[in-house]
Amino acid sequence: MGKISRRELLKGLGIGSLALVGGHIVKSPLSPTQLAYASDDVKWKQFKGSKLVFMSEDTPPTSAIKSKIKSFKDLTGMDIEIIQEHLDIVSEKVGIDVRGKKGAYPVYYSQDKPIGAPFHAHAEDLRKYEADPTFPKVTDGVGSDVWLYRFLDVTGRFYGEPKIAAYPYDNAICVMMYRKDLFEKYSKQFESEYKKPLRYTENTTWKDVLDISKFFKKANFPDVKYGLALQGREGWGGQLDFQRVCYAHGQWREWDFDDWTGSRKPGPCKWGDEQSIVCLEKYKELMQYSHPDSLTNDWSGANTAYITGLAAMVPNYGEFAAVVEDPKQSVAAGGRTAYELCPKGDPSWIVNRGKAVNATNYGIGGIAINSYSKPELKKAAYLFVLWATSYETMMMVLKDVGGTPDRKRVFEDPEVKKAFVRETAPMKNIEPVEMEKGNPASRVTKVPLMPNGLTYGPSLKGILPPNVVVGPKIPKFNEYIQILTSEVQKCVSGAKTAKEACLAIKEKTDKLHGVK
Amino acid sequence: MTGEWQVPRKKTFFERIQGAFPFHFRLMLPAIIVLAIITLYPFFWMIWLSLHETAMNPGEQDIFVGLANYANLLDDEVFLNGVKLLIWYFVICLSVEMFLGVSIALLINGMKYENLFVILFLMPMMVAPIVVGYLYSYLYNVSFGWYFWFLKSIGFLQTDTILASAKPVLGFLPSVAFFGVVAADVWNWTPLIILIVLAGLKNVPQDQLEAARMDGAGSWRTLWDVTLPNIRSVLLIAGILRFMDNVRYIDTIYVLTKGGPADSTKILPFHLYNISFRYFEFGRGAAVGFILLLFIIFMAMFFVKVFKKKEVAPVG
Repeated sequence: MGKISRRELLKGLGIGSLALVGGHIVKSPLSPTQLAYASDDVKWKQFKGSKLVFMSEDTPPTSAIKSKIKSFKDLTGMDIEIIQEHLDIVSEKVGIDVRGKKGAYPVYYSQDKPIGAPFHAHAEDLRKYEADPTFPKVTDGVGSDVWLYRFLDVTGRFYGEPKIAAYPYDNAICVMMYRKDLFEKYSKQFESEYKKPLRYTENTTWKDVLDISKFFKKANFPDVKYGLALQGREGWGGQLDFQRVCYAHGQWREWDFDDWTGSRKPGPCKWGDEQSIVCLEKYKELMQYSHPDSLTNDWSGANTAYITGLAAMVPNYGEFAAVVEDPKQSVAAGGRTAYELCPKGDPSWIVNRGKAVNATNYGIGGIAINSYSKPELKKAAYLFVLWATSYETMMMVLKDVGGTPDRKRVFEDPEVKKAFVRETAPMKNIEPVEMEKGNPASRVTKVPLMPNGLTYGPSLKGILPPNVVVGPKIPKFNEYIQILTSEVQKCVSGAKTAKEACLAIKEKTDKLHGVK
Repeated sequence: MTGEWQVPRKKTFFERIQGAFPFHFRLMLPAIIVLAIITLYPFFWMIWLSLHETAMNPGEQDIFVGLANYANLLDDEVFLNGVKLLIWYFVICLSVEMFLGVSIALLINGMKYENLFVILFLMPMMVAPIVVGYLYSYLYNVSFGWYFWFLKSIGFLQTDTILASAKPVLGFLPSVAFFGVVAADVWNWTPLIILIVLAGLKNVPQDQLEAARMDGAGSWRTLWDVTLPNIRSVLLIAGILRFMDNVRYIDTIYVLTKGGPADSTKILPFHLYNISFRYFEFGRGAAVGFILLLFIIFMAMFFVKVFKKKEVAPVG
């Protein structure tokens, strides 16, 4: 082994310290003109030897990307450090970074509302790179119509500007997960009490869900204590949870502006009107019959209540299907769970003469490039963005490790289509797990190869109008959801009536937006 | 050459500095400069920031708003609630931790297996507060939490949940969730009080203890009149340390409740964190931070005054 020269040591230290502040870049010896006419293989490798940093939420799709990162390294010759944090931490770190104009994270995860809405102005306009001939082409390109319904608008476009700040990278679409086995088992008892079948279909309303919750809570069966688990935790989880009830009833929204692009100055909100008060009263009732931790649970907490067999239903995001279908972690695995659209609004709860819909909301994780990083580093970052959002990568991570793809083409794949339905879904063998001790019939030997696929049917229906609700995309989204969920919690806890809480939300939100 | 006038030599620059600043000051100067950079600069910058509405987007400028950020706090329900909860928080935490810490220290001081007990009692302190948050979120969980199950089984817990309950305890105290957070803090930090008090107990003069015993003072009297006065300064340090920790405490709350339910665990430092790093309203955050700083200084002075031992002049 030869000695390391002083020059080499200094070079190494230099590269190391640069990596600490967002990576380092090794430029291509080719000129832009040469690159423009080069093959895609050369274009992918134009920053060979460079290093990037990607700050992401600790979502299953990012874990999947991380486990498949070798293919990116092989394709580009670049290295990438993927940092995974809780969404709030990502928002905090990215916020500090861009407000300080540091560019420490050349690529970052940009959830549409918590990160995109306040910080989109600090992200690069990706159209600039799309038009640059020195970048390789990906299957189908990156135009608006290659993604699921208006996903590019949700993640990339803000406040009516033409700029595209992020591409869709992953998604979490809400569906209803429920215990089909328990529904069948207690059907007769429910029917005798409530004079309707214990069934969950896309026509099941929130009022039906309330009845089912009351039934399970009162019955206190040995195999399930509660009918429903909600996620009313302060913050985004709570906002999304309550929004599903609001939008299902007359498509109620807090503002009338175009939700897809959002508004910088939203003006006076509608909180405090009759429909909002009814929705809050009903949400409080739903909470009273839900799993007791529902007011402090987020999506993970609600999922825990469901997979430990304490709740028979949970509206939750598709990515959790992977855990639900794992018999080592979940008592709801082995074909016991069914997936359906979120509940429909109940006509008797609608007072604004609007439509009853299966309100579905989601969080679409975007991937953005930090505008404060060095120009060449931003270009290298775009290669990663292209790779991570390409059809091939989405397909690869979905089939091998699970993912939440955003490209339409993925859902046209015959094998993926089969995964929509349990009966046709490709399965993989596992070490047998006995779900009930001493009952060989409960032994699970196979699990779906693409468990998230079981949620795609209701997800793809839910993300289309009239069911989908995407807003509010406003710059002060993070403070707004604190105001909202804190007042909702006060109502649910009995500290305020629904009317008082709704009027307090209106007063505080309007004040936040300078409305007098 | 006697009798000739000597023109006084003009002092060099360094000689003048030497005259102006004594030797010990010059030795400390580098450290003072470093301290000034890392404390005074941010301090004045915070004040400057608190007088501005900071820009959110590129190309925008910070706007000078005078004292508006301070004035608006009087109208901020979460801020006022946060101050109230913070006072509850440090009063309850400090009282319980001091009581438990002193009691345990007195109990194990001089015991046969004192060292073993010290190691056992110190273990919670080795756990990072964020990990304590996760640990207690499992222990309080309705689905599988051992603490929840235990408290419910013995009939101590009147609600169906710990962390989701905003119900005030006994109708006038903070919520059940708040006490859940307090319990985690007490578990995590009582060991620090034990450690400090134990160190203090080792320095209680034996002659005073023996004299008290010979004069027929009972254990309680000895404790009250000999031991506690001797560890007064140690208690002051422990109290100030814990107080300062409490008023900047957000880690466990962040994991356990995020300040909810219904703002019932949103103590002032957590609100400050939200304003500064979730809403990115640096001006407003600086105003809250400055008020919090004044509060800490005021309380620290109060502690020092309460605990200050009056010096007694020697007789004769």
